[in-house]
Amino acid sequence: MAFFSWLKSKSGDPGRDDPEKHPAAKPAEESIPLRQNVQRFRETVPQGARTVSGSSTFKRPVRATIDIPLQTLRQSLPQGLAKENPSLDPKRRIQIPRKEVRINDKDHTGTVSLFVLHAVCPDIFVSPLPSLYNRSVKFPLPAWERLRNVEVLEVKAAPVPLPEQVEPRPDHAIVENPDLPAQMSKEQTHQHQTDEGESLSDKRQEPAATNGETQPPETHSNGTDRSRSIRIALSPILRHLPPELNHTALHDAAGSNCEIELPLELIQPQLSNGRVTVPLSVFLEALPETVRNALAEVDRSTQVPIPLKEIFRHLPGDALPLRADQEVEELREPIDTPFTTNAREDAERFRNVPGTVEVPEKEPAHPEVGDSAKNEKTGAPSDTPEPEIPAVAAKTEPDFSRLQTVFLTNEPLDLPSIVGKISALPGLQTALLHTADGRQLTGAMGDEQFERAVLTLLPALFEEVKTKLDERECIGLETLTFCWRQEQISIFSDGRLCLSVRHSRRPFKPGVREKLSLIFSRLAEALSSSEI
Amino acid sequence: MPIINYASKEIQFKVVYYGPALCGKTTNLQYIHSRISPTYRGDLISLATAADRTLFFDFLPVNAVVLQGFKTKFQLYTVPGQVIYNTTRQLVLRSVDGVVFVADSQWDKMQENVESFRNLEENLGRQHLKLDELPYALQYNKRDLTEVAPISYLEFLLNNRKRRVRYFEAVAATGFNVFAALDVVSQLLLHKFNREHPTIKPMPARAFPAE
Repeated sequence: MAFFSWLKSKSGDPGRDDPEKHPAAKPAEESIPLRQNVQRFRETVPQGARTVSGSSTFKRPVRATIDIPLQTLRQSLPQGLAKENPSLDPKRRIQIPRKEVRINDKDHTGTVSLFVLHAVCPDIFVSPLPSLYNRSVKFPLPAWERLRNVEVLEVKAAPVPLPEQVEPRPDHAIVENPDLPAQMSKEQTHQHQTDEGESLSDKRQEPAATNGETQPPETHSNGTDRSRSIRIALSPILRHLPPELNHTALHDAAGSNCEIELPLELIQPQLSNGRVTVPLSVFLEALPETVRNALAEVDRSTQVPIPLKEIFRHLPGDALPLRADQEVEELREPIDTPFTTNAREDAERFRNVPGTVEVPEKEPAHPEVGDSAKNEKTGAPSDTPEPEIPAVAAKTEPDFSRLQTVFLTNEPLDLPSIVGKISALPGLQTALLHTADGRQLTGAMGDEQFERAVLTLLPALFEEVKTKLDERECIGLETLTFCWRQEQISIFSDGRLCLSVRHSRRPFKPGVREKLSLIFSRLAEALSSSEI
Repeated sequence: MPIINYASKEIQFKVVYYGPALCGKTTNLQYIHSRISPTYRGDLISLATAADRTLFFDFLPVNAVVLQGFKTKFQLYTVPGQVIYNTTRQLVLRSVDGVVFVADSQWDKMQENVESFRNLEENLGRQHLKLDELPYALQYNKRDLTEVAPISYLEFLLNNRKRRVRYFEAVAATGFNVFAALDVVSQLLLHKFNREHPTIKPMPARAFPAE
């Protein structure tokens, strides 16, 4: 009884994504108004559930996946494999292909290979992962999954249901707190069976995935309504507008907190293309009256790109369904390849840096293959601790080891060698590392006049432009390039450290600016604890 | 299909790094080249433009004994990612045995990822090869950047096929999961080879010097 009173207390806020908030948790009398929504039901009845060619019975379709709360899976993982990640919602349900799960009806548990589990939910595993071959994990089945296996599923079929007989029903007939113990009393189970039987006899059907595709959600919990629209902040859309649409008046009129509502059914089908656009007419309709006039004269057939990142901030959790009939590729017998040793070494190297994918400090960026071979021969452990470095020295000496990986070199780096390597990048002539207050650290511009201008003017100009852009919410200024006659100079700055480079009389070659940006960020990081 | 030379007892596997422009295919090969001892690999041959963009392909031969009595050579190639070089990509893809598809994780590269993946399938189709029958893995590169799409979206875009393949979050610039992806593709193609040539049984790997 305690379970049902808990259900009742949780049933106030129905929500599709959260099992605790599921409408099925409501008492029967509260769910009566849903019966009026006939059209929705008719859309979601799976084809296979209808009686076909006079068959007298039907079976409730079985979903191709089993939904397990993330927390349950994490708790079931063997020690040393689970990763604590507070950013993950423990109630998020993970879909595991049903055919990959061995279900034990006696103790209501499921068993799945760790390989499959890692494929469907890598977020709960430590990274990098040790070998998972031939290992499996057992987890308790939640009540809704246990009930799927109840065999009282055949009922007498009826003709096509009349509208007043039917009632929409959610994905899951029974809602259970994932944190509750897996065991349920027979009495409770029986009660659920009865409920299930009744619901089936009422012709309520599960909107299961058909033809390998999950039905799109009817509603979602981020404030969009049943007309399936999605609210997106306007300013990021304006920032990505093509030049012909990019009117200053738009930016001014839109303001920083303005949001527009766009139809989800227009956006969702485009997600699989990696780009989402809406026709200008739709965009105009969504715009506030005050802004609309700014685009009155633009061609209506123009497509307005919608930034994916913004869409994803508001997208319902189940809007990206993976095929239900997927077969996870598995390597049953590992074969050693010429790359296995390196893969293991890398895994070991990156293991000690939780939550990051960077090379650990005090470790060579590219250990020679020969090292591991040497260790194998001598039997010495590969993770021999490095000699301790005095704490004082570690503080004063900046560590540039992370830059070794950028330059793909093993040689020890210092500021002059780094600036030398920067100057050698394609399309660059010289580089100068300096502070924002005009102190030269290393490098040169190759011309005294240039150097003076760079040291005195560029940091201040950069800060000025950055401040102005930040005020207009164009955050993240990375570099400024100044061109005059045939000369071009670019500056990177973080407000404290600056890197200025002189081009070979042409703009950045593809990829060079990105590389410089990475180098500069690592340089700034390495020098953050040093006095410069 | 691997090239088997029974006279010299050599098997050659061809692994191609495929993906959109500037996704990090060459960086993958550079990292592999930098980590494998020169004794066991040849030179990295790279035909690039002045702007460091791959013009034709990169090529890295790696030698090892994996199969009984047969010298096994892995030839690693990259393709030029730029759209205009499709004929070159088709040439490089000829007789491919395995593919590492390198996707750029940045939000604004999603469309290019999808187009490149479709292009891969299309180019394989021209050689009467099916992607679903080819050993391949997905490498979601540049995961160290801030403006990256979540894995769930990349999986939705690129791994939403009936056969769900292994994927790796990677940072080719640091080497994170570069070898892991290559190792898995190598294993997959060796498994496939063993199925198709049951007389040659797998043996533990042992690298041998390049000739």
